[in-house]
Amino acid sequence: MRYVIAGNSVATVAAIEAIRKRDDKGEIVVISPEPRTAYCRPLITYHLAGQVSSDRLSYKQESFYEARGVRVLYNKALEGLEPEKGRVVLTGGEKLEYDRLLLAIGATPFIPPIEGVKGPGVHPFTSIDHMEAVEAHLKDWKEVVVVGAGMIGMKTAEALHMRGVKVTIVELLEKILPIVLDDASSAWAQEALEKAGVDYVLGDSVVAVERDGRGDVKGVTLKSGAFIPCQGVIVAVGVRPNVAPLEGSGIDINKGVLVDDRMETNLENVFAAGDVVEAYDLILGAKRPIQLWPLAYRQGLIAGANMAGGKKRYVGGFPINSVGFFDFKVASAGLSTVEPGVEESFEVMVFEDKERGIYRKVVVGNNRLMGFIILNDISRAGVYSGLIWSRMDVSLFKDALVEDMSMPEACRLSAHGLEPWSFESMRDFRRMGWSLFPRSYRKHFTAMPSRIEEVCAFESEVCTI
Amino acid sequence: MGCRLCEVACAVEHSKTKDPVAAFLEEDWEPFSHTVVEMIGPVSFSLSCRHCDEPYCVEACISGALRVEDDGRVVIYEEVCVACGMCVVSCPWGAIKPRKRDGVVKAAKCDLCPDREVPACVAACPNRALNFDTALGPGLEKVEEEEIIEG
Repeated sequence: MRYVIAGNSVATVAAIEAIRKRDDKGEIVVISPEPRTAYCRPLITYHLAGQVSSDRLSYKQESFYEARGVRVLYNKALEGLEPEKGRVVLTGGEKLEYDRLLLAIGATPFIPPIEGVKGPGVHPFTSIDHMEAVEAHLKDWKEVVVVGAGMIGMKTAEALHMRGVKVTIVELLEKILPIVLDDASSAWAQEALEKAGVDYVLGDSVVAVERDGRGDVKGVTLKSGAFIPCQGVIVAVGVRPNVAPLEGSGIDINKGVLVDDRMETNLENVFAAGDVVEAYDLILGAKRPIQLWPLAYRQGLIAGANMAGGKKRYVGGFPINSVGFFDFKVASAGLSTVEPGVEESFEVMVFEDKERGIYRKVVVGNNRLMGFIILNDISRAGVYSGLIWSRMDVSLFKDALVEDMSMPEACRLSAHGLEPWSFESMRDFRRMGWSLFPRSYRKHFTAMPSRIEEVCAFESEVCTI
Repeated sequence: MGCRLCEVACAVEHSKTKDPVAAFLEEDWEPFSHTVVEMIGPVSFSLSCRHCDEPYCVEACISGALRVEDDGRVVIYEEVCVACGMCVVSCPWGAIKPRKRDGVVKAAKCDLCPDREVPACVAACPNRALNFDTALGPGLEKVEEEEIIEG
């Protein structure tokens, strides 16, 4: 049995672990497009900021692969897939046969078709190579424009700011972190940016990168007509599943590679995991790409288990984020951007206290927690994620979710008049599995398919995307 | 019964001096308990890390600081932690919290007291509600993954 894994990041690591748990003889070949072992991709901004040394970037060392008998082909990328012959084409035309294939080839940064975007001085920021390119430029860069105020954009802006570069952030939408924050919490983020002395332009986009006679960047022109002088541009407007090598292979692709709940594609013995896939979103009840580290790990684990003959199912995922920049700390999950009073099908509860630095918002739909945003004090924020996973009925204590108190206090429901021995509350206790104490608590969070179906039916009615 | 002695014991064990008086009154580290007693009326439950088989926090850790050890413990290597907070948001039990010590924030969770034979909370529990057991009963191993839906 030969397992071939294309790509070498977190999904690959999880898949190797899962395969080796079940099959210690099969040959595992990893196709690594980069000349290094799996590394902590989100940490590249920390490294640029000087907070993490380069030896800490590595997620797994050489020894991880050696101990598990994994052969890694460095500097080889997947170029094509020939499913009828059961083989993949690598860089340089080399062909490799597989019995089971895992596509964990990730996503590529999207570069919008802006005038003058091609050429030196314009960089995406998703890999060590990008980081090293930016690092090499830093001594010449005094001013930088970061296009896109998402996670990568904000963390890169923070890192550049810490390195003494004057940063201007340009975002097309009217919010900082537009896919995570709502208007009110975005205002908190903007305040933090102003305090740090970082310029930002919201609701505007870059239409042209201006270059001087030698081809170096001298600034950007915005749609509004404004000109921002800069020597470098970071493009962080999102990533797209890397499906180009798979075209013509007959694999089902929508935005990403479509997979079922075993992480298997429509082709036999071909699995996919990580940023490249379009997998089930537990909250929306539909398939869509969610490009986040924890989900990639989970998907890799499930794909690996099923490749080696296991029976693991992917129940779905939802976005979970925690990010901090310029003394602004946000934890969020699920449908967090829903504005209060806009959608009738959701109940949105907010508690805001500027002076004490408390902002907490939960989105409840069909008496289930659908999403939340917590700023600053994120202690025990996971309890909310647990409520989303478990699909627990929160109607009895939903007001307590955003009460005027600190996070740890808010998690204690005792003070809020919940009758301890009522039928309802004891049932909910059991649903959470707290009275059962099984070996794997995890199973009790998600081993309730009937409730998941019920919620999904509700969601397909109200959430039309 | 909600005496919360486990919280006290945990905070003392994870203090600088491991002395109760110093831990709560004198040290510059804030007293910090990994376990939290949840109480609803007469029901109380000391909640700390469950050391899950397939932990959400380990999956979510972007720096590789959280690992499952060979003996099943889920541990944080603090020197690797970058305090991003992903584990804090991911743990469905809320068992991981950021802890500030000497001005540096790191994720903190139950470490099953590596310096002790029995964790401090278990030793402190007056009515043996908390137990420490590493061995799994026979049969438990086999329930593995028969078509069970996992998140």
